[in-house]
Amino acid sequence: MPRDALQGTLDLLILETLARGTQHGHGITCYILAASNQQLRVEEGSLYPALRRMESDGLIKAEWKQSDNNRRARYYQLTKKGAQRLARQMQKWEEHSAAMKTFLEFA
Amino acid sequence: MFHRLINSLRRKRLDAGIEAEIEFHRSHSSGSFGNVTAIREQMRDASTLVWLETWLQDIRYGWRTLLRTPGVSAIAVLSLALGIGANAAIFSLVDHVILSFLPVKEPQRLVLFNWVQPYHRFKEFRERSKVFSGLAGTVSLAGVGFNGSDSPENSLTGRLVSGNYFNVLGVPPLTGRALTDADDSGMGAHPEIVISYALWQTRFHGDPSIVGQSVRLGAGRIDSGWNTAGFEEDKPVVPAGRDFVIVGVMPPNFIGETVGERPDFWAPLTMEEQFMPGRHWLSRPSAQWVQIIARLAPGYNRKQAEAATNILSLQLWREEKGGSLSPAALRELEQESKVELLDGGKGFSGLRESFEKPLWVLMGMVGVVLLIACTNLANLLLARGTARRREISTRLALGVARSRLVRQLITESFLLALAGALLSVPIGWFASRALFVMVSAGNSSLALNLAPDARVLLFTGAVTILTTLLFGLVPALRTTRVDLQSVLKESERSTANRGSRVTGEKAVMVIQVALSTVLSFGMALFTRTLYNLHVQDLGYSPERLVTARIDPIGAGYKGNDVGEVAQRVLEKLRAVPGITAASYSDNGLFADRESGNTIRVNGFVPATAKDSHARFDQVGPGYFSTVGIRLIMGRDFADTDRANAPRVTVINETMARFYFGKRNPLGQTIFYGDQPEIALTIVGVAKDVRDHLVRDEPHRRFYVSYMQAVDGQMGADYELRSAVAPAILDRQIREAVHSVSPLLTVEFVQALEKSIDNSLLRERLIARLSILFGLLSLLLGCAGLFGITAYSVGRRTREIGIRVALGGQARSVVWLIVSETLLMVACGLAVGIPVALLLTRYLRSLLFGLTPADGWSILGVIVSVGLMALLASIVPARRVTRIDPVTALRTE
Repeated sequence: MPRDALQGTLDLLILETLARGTQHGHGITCYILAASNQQLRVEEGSLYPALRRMESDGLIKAEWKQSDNNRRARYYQLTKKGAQRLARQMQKWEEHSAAMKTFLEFA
Repeated sequence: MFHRLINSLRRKRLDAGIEAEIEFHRSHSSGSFGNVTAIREQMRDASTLVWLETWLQDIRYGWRTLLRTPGVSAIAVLSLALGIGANAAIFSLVDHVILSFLPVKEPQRLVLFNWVQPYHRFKEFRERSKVFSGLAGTVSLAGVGFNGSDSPENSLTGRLVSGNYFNVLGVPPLTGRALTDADDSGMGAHPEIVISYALWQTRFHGDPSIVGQSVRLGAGRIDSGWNTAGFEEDKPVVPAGRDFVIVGVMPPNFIGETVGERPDFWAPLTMEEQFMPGRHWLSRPSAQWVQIIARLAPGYNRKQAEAATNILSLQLWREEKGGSLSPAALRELEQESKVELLDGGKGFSGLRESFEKPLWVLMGMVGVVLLIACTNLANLLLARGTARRREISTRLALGVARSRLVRQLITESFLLALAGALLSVPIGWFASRALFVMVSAGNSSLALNLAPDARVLLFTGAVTILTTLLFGLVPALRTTRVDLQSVLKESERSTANRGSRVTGEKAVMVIQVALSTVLSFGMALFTRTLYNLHVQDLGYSPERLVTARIDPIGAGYKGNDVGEVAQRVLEKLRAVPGITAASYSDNGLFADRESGNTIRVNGFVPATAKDSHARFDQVGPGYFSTVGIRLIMGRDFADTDRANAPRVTVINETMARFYFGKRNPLGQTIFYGDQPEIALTIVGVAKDVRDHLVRDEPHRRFYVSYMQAVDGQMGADYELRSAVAPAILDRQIREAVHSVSPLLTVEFVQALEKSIDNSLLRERLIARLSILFGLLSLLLGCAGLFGITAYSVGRRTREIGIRVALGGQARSVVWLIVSETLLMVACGLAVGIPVALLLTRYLRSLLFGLTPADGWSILGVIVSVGLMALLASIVPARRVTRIDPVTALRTE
């Protein structure tokens, strides 16, 4: 897949995950893995730089909190801008997959 | 964005946070994390302002690199600072004198009349022009006595203006009110003035109750325009010194309509009599003295307004002449009444007229100096770049983007340029002051606000950026364009391809020599011009001639009394010890005054109206012997040429040849003027002399006796021969004049040589500065040649060692080095001389006594550039002879 499409997909995954609740980085990977039925595995090397980028762009914001096992972790949550971006990305994704479906069924 | 900036500034915190986050993840997941270092870097890059960090890195690195060679860096910064500073100084002058618009409302809509008008015609123009929304008249007034004192230090300069002047310029007063049309009605009826902000602060100490205060102003001088005196009618002379009421103060940067002037006050035109008693210029039709500035009415442009104004002008002249005119006379009248409308946005400026061309030439020269400084720096950076070849190739091999390296090298040049620019600010400031002093020498009333304004600073900034690109970009690109393999593999021992790699620097050197050649050529031309002007034979010897001017008309003398009192003063002056000869004249020598009129000669048929025109002066007894003008035939004026004696004249050679050809003019009659014609008998023929400008070719000129004046006198300039210094004579002269009448004031006492020098101000300025720039360019060229030759020797040490070891003579090796330098210089000359000849064609009007293709100058340039080359190559050449072959062979 082209690089920006890949990045866009990753962004969508992260935003949707965080829309369902505040999480730290490890938690996000686990959730995506689980929610996609073990189909989507996000590499750390992609996730953490992406998280930092989205934070710099103001889509998510971060906070240091105590995690469940009493260690300090960096928790991310969706901002208003992020929620707007999520809605837009979702719509684009649906349009895109509908178009693909139409094309593939046209034969 | 802001987020990234914060992260950039708080790096430690960011790094700690990234570490912690990674650690947390690893503590939870058992699998491999991947390339931790790369991920860490990517996280950092996603969180910070990458460009800012790399830029700061470049700056820090560049700074350290420059500090490693402090001497060279210092010289580079200094030469840049001098170059940029000099450019800024000259541009500042160009900006203020040539480019700046007047600080008035909509200056682009202003126009100037190219010639002064008589007062009655000015009023007609004002009333009857339809193409202007306002037409104002003005004239400058100098040496006005302030509150009773008439010493030159206390005197004021001012302007007489028409009522609508402030309206036309559109500048409201700071406090109080401006003059209006009502104030400009009735001769001498409204003693009201508006003063300048500067006057308010200095003489009145910013007194808040200034409006309504009264001040006594004495007589002044109207110096501008073309003034004819005409004759005194029997009108009473109003004594000088009258109380004026201050009605307003103008804002601080308002200077009126003339660049270089700082009027202290503005008074109505109708108060002219108060300042110049006895002249009656308001009512004299032949006196041309009013400068006109007008604002175009909406919908008209300058061309249209000029056409309409010329129609009106012709109409006015016809009304003045009266009666009907033949078609030929009508055509002549059309020519005479022609008015040109000049763009008025930048105001009147005598300074601009004299200095515009020289200033542009100087601007060009100083730009070339900066260019030369930049080429030196470019070579410096190229040389350093060559030395860093291995470092750069290694970095390129490690995967650094070429653009990154270029950026870093450019940052180094930018640091140099920035340091140079910062240092150039004080240098430029001093240079401006010095320049202003040079330009205003001899004219104490000149005032220019040379404080650096936004434009000058912008200019400096632009020049800095340009120089950075100029000497930074090319070396940066060249240095990073390396063939990696060959550079990494070779050691310094290899001598292959050496010559070609130095071609870049050599080409730059050739350009530099060419530029130095051009500047040196300019220097030679201007210096020779000044020399030629200094040694030009004037027709008489100006040494030990002192001039002193008095104003008998201002003191109240009229008609024949003027001549009488001039004689009495002459007799007193003749008696002063130290004065060996004395005489006087109406127009003086190098005094910027002249008279002229039509002449009729029996038997001579003029081809055009111009042929009937000749200039003249009204002089006292012994004029020619005092000044030292040879009389080719006939006699000098004598005490007997008094008021009621037969009217005589002395004509000059040119006039004799023109009107009389080979005939003997002595005893012939010429007829002066028109209605009535005055018959003058020729009693002498004088040699042609230069009495106004050194450059002037002599015109047709004749002289009449001051006491038998054909036109009213303006004043009396005394020419005195004395070996005593003017400063000492000053007191005795003033005493002598005072003893004849206490009303007579001496306006100035000055050596004629000083007046001549002042008239050559323009040429002196350009000669001095071109010498400065020429020498500077030769110095820089010498330094550049030295650097490149020394560097070449350094790199070829091994090769030289081998040659000497193999039995080569020291002499032939030295020649090897020197010949390289000479070749560069020869190429530079070959390029530079034709370019110089091409450019200097435009300088023709600035030269005197030589053509731009001056052989001696070319020779001089070749010699000086050759000398420069020799000097530059001597030290490196001697170093070559001292190379010990054994050590040389061992060098890397």
